[in-house]
Amino acid sequence: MPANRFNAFTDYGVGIGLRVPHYDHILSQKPVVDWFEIISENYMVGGGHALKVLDQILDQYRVVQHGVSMYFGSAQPLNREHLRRLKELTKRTNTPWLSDHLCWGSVDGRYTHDLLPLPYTFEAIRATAARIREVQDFLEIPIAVENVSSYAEFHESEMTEWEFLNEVVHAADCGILLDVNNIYVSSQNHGFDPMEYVNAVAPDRVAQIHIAGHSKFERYTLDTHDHPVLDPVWKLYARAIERVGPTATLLEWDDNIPTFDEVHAEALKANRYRPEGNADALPLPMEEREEVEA
Amino acid sequence: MTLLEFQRRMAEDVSRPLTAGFMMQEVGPDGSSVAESVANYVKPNGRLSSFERLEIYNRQYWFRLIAAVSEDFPALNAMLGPKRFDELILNYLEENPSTSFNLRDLGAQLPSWLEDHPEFTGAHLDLAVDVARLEWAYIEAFDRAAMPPLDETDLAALQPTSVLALQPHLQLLALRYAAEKVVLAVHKNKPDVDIVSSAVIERKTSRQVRLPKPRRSLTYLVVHRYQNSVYYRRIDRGAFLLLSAIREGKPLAIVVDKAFCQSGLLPSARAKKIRQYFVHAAELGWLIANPA
Amino acid sequence: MKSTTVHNLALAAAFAGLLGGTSARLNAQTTAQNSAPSANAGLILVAQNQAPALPKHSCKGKNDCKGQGGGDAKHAGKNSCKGKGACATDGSKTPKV
Repeated sequence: MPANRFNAFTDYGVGIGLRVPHYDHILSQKPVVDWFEIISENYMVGGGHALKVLDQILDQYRVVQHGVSMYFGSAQPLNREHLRRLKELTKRTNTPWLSDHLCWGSVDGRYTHDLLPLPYTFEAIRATAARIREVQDFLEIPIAVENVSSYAEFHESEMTEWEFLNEVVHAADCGILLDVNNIYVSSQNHGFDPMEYVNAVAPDRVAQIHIAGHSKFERYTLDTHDHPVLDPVWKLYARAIERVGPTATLLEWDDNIPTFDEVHAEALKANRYRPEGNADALPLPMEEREEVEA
Repeated sequence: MTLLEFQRRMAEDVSRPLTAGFMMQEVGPDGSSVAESVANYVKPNGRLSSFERLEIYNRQYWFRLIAAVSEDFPALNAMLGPKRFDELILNYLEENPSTSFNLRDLGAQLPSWLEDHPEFTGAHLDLAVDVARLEWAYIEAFDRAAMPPLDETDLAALQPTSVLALQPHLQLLALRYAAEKVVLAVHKNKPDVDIVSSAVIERKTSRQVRLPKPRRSLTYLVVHRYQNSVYYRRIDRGAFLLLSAIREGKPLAIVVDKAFCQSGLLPSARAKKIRQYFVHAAELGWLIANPA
Repeated sequence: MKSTTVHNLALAAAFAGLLGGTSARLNAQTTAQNSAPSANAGLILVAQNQAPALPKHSCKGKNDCKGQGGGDAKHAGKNSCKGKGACATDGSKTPKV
């Protein structure tokens, strides 16, 4: 189950997001890391330092692309220039699959640079699925869509978020990047049982799992990516692994970034919940790995 | 409400300027109640009203954009001071919302916008514009493409009618001040890395920078990337005119005349200078074959 | 006639400069490939008697998917957005590899 057509039949373990403050450490110390996730937009440039580092990372590590601005749920046509440049990057990275969010964020050519929640309607399902299919056809690699953290709900919604997610991925025939931290954050903001969400997600479509830290304020919870993963999120992760199998897992840490070793150690805690893992286990070096054949 | 109507409405609310206290405005531009309008499509919950729930997105929108554009203009910030700089950035973003999927592009219009808004710079408009132009040139030089420089095969095919091109990452600037002195003084005081260790929580903070006050004097700069680092290189007027002519797509025969079009230099001195300009440009890999 | 001579002199200088500069660059590359890293192509810049300014670069990883601007309304304000940028790091250091 962990290796499926939505992650190109790969069998990745626990990885971390590639972040600028860790460049020097990774390139000089060459730590054993199962895989890195990059934010595509940060490497969609003509040249320079970022691409040089990326090429060096690609020489030694497996990299998966994660986007933040495709806005599958936007109601207007896709930005063709964005797609063209994204495809160029996928050729450089050879990413086995590519993920972005189940959200919207731009309208009439203006970008909010935020992951705005959709109203859970049948119209939104049709529009979003059509865009995902178009991106998937253009990029010629499997797409996984990620559930976002949200702080607002809409009168227009006709179903729960997990029903919406399942409907979209079914209509688009794409994978899911299941962010268990986002599920937790949204459950706190909207008052639903996060375990019900995890239990409802189509397990055979989960290509990847995200874990991260969040911040709890007096009246709402924010997805800040600036803390270690909190216990309730680990519980959701454990349940997700139980249902889906030991799926490719990635820790996101984007603010107040600690040392590479601290981030990596936090990510490797995921091995406690994976059948073949243990808390201290480091992933195998590249040359000792075998990938599952398609 | 269709999905598109919903998104237009929410985008308008999310991107509406905040109050002076960085909160969501309670009254819309037409004098209507924002709370009432938002309640029509956002559900409240037990802890937050519809207005308060949307306010999270409204504030997040501005904080993200302010942070993104501010980090590209640290010297302008240091020069104007945080109060004036914040006001400038807010006004810039109100008039120049993002039209790119990449936050990298957000500050692109700031130098030209600033030129038309002297109210944000006080008496130092020209220097502020120069600093902003230089800081944006830095961004362009940092990550625009680098093409293979001219090689011996390209040289063998060159004619007086040949058209060369400049590296896409190379930025040519004619400034009214030696603005690089200000920019470099600010960069020198920035910390190298910003890793927060759980063992050492204390973050390095930049000291108060004592900025140089450059005198008004025409300054020609090339901002370029060499071995993945960005450099500022002073050039003279002749080199600036010559490189500008290359960027404009003029053939070599015209380029060499452009460099000294109003100069009283003797022909031999001109030739010596032109040779020197081309030596430097070719040596640093600035020249590429014409992509057309 | 005179202006044609001046023009041709300038053009000849341009070709000579192009040839000289390109050869110097290619030679420096060869030298760098055959010698210790300390003698690498950075010498071209140093040789030109103009100290290159190397400003540090701010983080170029602006795009991310985290939330920001947290804190309840009563704690909000200008300071909330300070130091909460999408990225507060510096990516200028050339990797030492």
